[in-house]
Amino acid sequence: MDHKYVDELDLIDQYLMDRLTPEESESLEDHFVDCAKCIDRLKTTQNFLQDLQSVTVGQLLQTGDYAPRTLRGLLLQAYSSKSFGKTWALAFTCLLLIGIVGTILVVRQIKHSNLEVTEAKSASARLTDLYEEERQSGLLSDEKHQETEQELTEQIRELEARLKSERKPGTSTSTETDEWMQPRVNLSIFVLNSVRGDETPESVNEVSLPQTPVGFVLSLPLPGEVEHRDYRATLSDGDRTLWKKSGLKLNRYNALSIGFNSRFFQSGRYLLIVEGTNKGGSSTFISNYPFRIIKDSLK
Amino acid sequence: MTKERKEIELNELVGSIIAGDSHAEETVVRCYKEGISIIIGRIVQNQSATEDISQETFRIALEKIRLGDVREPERLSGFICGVARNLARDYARRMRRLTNREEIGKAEQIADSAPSQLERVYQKERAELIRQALNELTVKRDREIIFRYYLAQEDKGQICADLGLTRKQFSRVIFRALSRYKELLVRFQGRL
Repeated sequence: MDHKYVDELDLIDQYLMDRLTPEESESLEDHFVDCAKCIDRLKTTQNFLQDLQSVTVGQLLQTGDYAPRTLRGLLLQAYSSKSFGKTWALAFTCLLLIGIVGTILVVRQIKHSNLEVTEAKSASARLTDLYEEERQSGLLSDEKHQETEQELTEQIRELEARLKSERKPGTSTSTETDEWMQPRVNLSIFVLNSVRGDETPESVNEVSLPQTPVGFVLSLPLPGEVEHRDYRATLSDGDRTLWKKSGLKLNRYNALSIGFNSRFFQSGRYLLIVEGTNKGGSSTFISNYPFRIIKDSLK
Repeated sequence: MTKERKEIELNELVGSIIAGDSHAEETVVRCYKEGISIIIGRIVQNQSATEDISQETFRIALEKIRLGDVREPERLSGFICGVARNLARDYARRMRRLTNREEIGKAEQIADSAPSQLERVYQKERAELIRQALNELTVKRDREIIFRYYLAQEDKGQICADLGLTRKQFSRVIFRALSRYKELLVRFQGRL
């Protein structure tokens, strides 16, 4: 280390301000210990520093010459100020207040956030339950709808089948009505023998009809029958009910006369059941009238 | 003094001391006294202790030179500095132990570091020298340089950058302030 090096790097100032490493300090000491020039500079600067620091910073600030720019400078300014204690107390109080207020705000915010989270969770749970209920309800509705649809389809099928079967033996009503508007010549009247209760028929009433459509009457005698308000007649082919009529009244011969068109029947066995309607609305079996339709073959 | 000339002189000095020349010993003390005091003072931070340790330093150093233990006379400066540093650090370590409460019995050995009344007056008058020296720096910027560099201990490069100065300009301001201060100080010390 030589003198030029010391001057260029301001090592004397660095040494006095404790900015050199221990090794650098020792190296500088080894140089200046017998260097009059360095010792002179060192002593002057050392005294200058001591005296500069002994003058209060506040007094220097009053001249407006010094505005602290570093933390050390600000601390020096605050420390040397006459109101040092007050300044620090005020600063500490402000920091404390800021800290307290900040903590309170943070705690409130956390509480508020927790409340919002709880409410959101409850709302979510409610919505989930509601959705589940609606979903279940929807499923049930779908099932019911399907069942109803099936039932309706079944009913329609039955009705169609029934309509089909009811149309088979007979003609349309409008045609029948037209026919009955015309005078009938040699209208056939068949008196049917009855079979009561457990009796077995000795013979089945035979009704012979031509192939061509004709009207005819089936007479059902009910001798001595005066007890019932009115009567009900049911026509079946043994499997199914083909015709039923209630509220029938006996004629003056104590018989029921029922007119048919031959198109209503096909060749085969049929059964007419007569029931009497009681005053209470209930019905009582009176008699069976089994008969067989025989249609002549075409000549 | 050139390095070679210095080495020759040191060799001669050491040789003279070995030979028993007391003038050579005085020369050594005279040359190194101030520097050694500065080195010791930085460590012990005590004026009277600095003087004591300085004396002890030269006693030990001269004894070793006489005995021929200084085998490299060109490194005499480093040798004396080393002796001074070791003695100063030993003293500082002892002082730290003594200030421990467990050894309160030796409290009377601890010197009172507070300045005396006389010293306070002296410091006050010295402070006036500073104010006067600073007031003579008519340019506000120059005063700012002094405050920022020595008081706030800001970086020289940063100050130059902030104020738009070269390092030479900076050094000139420092030199001017210190020179004027030194003049005032010499005048003040002359009045004492």
